Amino acid sequence: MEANISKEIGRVIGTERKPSTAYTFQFWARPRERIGIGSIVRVEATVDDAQVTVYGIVVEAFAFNDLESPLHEFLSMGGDATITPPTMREDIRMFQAAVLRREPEEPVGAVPIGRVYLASEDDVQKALRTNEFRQQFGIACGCYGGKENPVPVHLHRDFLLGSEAGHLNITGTSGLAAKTSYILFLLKSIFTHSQSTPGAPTVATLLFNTKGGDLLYLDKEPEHIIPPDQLEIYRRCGIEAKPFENVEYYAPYKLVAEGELNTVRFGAEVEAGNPTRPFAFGLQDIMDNFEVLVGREDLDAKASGYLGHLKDKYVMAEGRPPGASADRKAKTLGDLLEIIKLELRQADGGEGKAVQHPLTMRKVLNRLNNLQHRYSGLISHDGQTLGPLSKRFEPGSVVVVDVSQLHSDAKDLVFSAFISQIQDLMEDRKLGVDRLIVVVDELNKYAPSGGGETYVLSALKDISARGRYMGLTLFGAQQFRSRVDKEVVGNSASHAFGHIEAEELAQPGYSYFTPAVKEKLATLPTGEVLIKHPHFAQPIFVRFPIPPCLRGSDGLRKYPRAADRSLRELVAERARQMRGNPNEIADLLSKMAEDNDMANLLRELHRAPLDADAAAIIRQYGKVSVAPRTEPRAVVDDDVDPFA
Amino acid sequence: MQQRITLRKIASEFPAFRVYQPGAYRGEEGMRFAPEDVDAEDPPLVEPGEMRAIPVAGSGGTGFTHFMDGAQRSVPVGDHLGFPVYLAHTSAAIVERVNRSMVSPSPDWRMEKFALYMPTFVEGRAEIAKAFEVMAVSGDPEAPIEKVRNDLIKKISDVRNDQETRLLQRFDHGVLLTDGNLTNAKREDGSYKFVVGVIKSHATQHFRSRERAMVVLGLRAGERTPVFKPKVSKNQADVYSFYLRLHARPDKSSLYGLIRVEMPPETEYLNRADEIAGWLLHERMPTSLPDLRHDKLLYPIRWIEEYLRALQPTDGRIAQLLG
Repeated sequence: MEANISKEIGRVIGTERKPSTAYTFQFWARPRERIGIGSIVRVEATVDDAQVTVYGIVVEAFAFNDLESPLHEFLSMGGDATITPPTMREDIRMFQAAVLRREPEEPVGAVPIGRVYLASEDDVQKALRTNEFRQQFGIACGCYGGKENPVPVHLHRDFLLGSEAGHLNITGTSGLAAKTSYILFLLKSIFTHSQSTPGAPTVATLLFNTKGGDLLYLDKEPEHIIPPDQLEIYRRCGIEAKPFENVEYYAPYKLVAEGELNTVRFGAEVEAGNPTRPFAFGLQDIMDNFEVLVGREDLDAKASGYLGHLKDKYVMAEGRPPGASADRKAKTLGDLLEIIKLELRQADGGEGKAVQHPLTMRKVLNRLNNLQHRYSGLISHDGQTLGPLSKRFEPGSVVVVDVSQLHSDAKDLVFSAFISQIQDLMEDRKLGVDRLIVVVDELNKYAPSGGGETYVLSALKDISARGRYMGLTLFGAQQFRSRVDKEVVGNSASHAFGHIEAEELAQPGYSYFTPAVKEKLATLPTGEVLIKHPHFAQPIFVRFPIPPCLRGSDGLRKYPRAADRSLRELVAERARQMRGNPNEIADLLSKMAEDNDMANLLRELHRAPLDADAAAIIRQYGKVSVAPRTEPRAVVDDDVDPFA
Repeated sequence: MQQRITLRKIASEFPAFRVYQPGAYRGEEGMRFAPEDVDAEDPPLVEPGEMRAIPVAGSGGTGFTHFMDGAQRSVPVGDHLGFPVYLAHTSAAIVERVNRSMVSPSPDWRMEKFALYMPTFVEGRAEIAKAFEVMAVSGDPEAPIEKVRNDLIKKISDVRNDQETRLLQRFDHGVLLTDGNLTNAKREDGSYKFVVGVIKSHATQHFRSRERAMVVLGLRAGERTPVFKPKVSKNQADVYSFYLRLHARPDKSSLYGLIRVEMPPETEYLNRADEIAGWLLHERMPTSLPDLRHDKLLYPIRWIEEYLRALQPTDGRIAQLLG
C-alpha cells in the first residue's frame, strides 16, 4: 500500500440474493490484488449527484469459477487430474466487508454500488476515526497493513485508560508471545504518550511476574535483534525501541528469618544499580485477606466473627486482653497469637464472659499459627507492610512484583492483598499518579465465570466497574475469555485477541466474528492481534513488534542464579549496591562476630533506599542489639486439630 | 422376470441407429442437419484422396493465441402503428490468451453499440435521436409489417457483423480462432492473417451425396473429413473447410460434437489442416459445461460470450431507459 495513494481494485456487487446492506457489502477484486481478511477498503460512489464514501473492512473472502457442478469439471478433464487444459477457467475473488464508516454519516442507507479502492494511510485514519483524536489522545496500539508500509493505529486514551471508558482485556493462547509481549508494547506506547503529549495524565504500572523471567529484565538491553520491519513499527508509532526506564522489582523473602529474596533476579550483575526490593505483608494485610489465606470454606461465621473482634480490638486499636495489666496492640502475628492464647485461657477456665466458643478460638489460633509456616516469606517479621504499595507510585514507573517462585496459595495471597490494597489506595485517591495500570494475567483463575464470589473477584469487578473514574485501569489477560466473569470482561472497553484455540473460538461469545475472522484468529502469527475499541466500528488486525528488552529466557541464561551464598556474603553484596565507602563496609563486616544476626542486618539494608549510606547502617546496627528471631512454632498440632 | 423390450435395446443391434438420452438434447433444431439449404452438388475436395474419415493425430498442444466472437441482444421496446422498434446491443471482441488465462480486451479490441432500431418513417425519430442513438432502416410504410421487422433484425445482425469485420481486419498478430465463418476475414489486399473459423450449426448440407454425407455424420470423436472447398455466394470469399468431431456419444444425436472448420483458401492451411484439427481437439478442455452447446462450444469462445453478455444492458437498465 502506498502511503497516501488509493489503488482501485474492484467494484461493489449487489445482487438480489446478496444485496448490500447498511453495514455489509460485497465486492470483487482482481486475483492479484493483495487483499485479505482485515484489509481496509474505500468505496466511492455518486448517489443523486452526491459523493458517498464508505469505508469497510474485509471480513470474509470467496473464490469461485464458472462451474455449476463439480461433475462438470470432472467430465471436462475426463477424470484425469494430470491434464493441463490450454485455458484456465475464469475465476473471481469476492470479498465481504463490514462498514467502518460512511461519509456523509446520514442517511444510513445501503452501501452503494461503487468503485472499490485499497485504503491509503489517510483512508485508514478516517475509517477508524483516529484522524479526529490521534494528535491529542492517540495511543498507538500497533500498525495496520503490510510490512512495506505499516500504518499506525491509535486507541483513544480516554477510552483505554479512563475516564470515558477504560480497561483492556486480552485473550491469547499461553506461550505464543501474544499477551505479555503485546501488553509490554502497549505500555511502552502509553508511557511515550504520557511523556510526550502536553496535558496527558501521569501513568505508572504494576505487573505481576507469575512465571519464568518474562518481566524481570524489562530495563535490560535485549540480546535479540529486532528486525527492520519491526523497528519500522516502533518508528511509525513514535516509540523508542529501548528498554523500560524507572523499573522497580519486588520479591518476597524465601524465609523472612533468613532475609534472602525469593527471586531468580538475583546477583550483582543483573541487579547493578537496580536491586530487587523485598515485599512482605503486615498483620493488617493478613487480617484483611484471611479468607484467601485459609480458604473461604474454612472460614465459618463464628470464626469470621472472632477474627473481626481481634482485628477491631487488637490490630486496629489497643485493647486489654484478659489477664493483662495494660492495653496492647498486636503489631506482629506473634503478638496476636499471644493475645488469642490469653483469651483462650480465659475461655477454657470459664473466667468471665468469653467472646467466642473456645473451639472457635482454638481454630483461629491454629489457622493463624499455621500461616507463619505456609507463608513464611510473605509475612513481615515486625508486622509492617513492606513493598511498593507502602509509598505512592511515581509517574512513569514500572513496578514488577515477582511471585514466580511462590506456590499457588502464596501467589493467591500476594495477588489478593495487592488488589485489595490498590483498591483502598484508589478509594483514598492515594495512587500517586493520574492513572495506574494494573496488569493481571490468569483471569481464568482469579475471575472465573460461574464460580463463587471470592474476595479477589469482587475486587476485580469493583475495579473494572469503577476504577476508570478513580485512576485505576485494569489490563486483564486470560487464555479462555469465555470462562472469565462477564462483568470483568464486559467492563473492558478495549479488547485484544491473539492466537486463540479453535475450541475456545467455538464458544458463543465469539459468534460476533465471521468464520473467516475466527479462522484467522486460530492461526494468527506471533506479533499480530485483533483490536476491538469503542472508536472502531469493527475490530482491526494490527501488528506489533517484539519487546525492546531482554527476554525472560535470555535473562535467565545470561544471569544464572548464583550458588547459595552465606548471609554474610548477601549482606556484603547488598551493601556494595548502596552508597558508602566499600573499604569501610568491608572492614566493618569483617569485624562483626559470626553470631551476629546477619539476617536482620540484611533486612535493614533491604529496607533502606539505595542512596542510603550502607556503612552508617552497619555501624548503627552494630550498636543496637537485636535479639535473634526464632521461627514461631505451631501452638496446636494439626494432628489433634478438632477442626482439621 | 421377462426383460422389457426397449427401443435402445433394439437399436443397439444397428450402430447407425441412435436413440437419444431422454431430455438430453435441446429442441429439434439441434438435431436437424441442413434445415435451410442443401447444395446442388458435392463440393470439391482439395485435399488429396477420397472422401473419408481421417483420424487426427494432434500434437497435444494448441497454437491459438487469440479468440473472437460477437454477440447481440435485441428487445422490442415499442411499435409505430404496428411497425416494431427495437433496442439492441451489439458487440464483438478479440481476446488474447496469456499464460492460459483469457485477458479482458482493451477498448481497441472490443466494439459495442447500444441503439434503437426503427424504420425511417417512424414519427418523432428526430426527437428520439437527440437522446438515443438511432439506427434507421429505410422502408416502405406500405410494406408488410413482417418484412420491416425482418429488415430491422437483419440490420442488427449486420451491425454486429460489421463490428466483427472491423476487428478481424485490424487483427495483425498471433493465431486467431473465431466463432463463425470466415466471410469477413479476407483483407482488402486479398491476404489473410492466421485465422480459423468454427461453425457449430449445420444450416447447410454441403455434401448432397448420401455416401459423403454419411462420412460426415459417421465421424468418430477425433476424426475429420478431408479439406473441401464449399460453395459460396457471389459476394463471399472462397474458403477451405473440413468437418471435425470433437465429442461423440452413442446416446446423442449424429450432430453431437460435430463442427465445421473454415480456413483461408491457401496452401499453407491445406498442409496444416491436421495440425489445426489437433489444436481444436486440444481446446476441448475445459468443456463449456453447463452450457447446453458444450459439445461444440469451445471454452475460450464461451468465455468471450460471457464477457460480451456482461456488457449487455440488464433488464433494469432497459427499464430505466424506457421510463
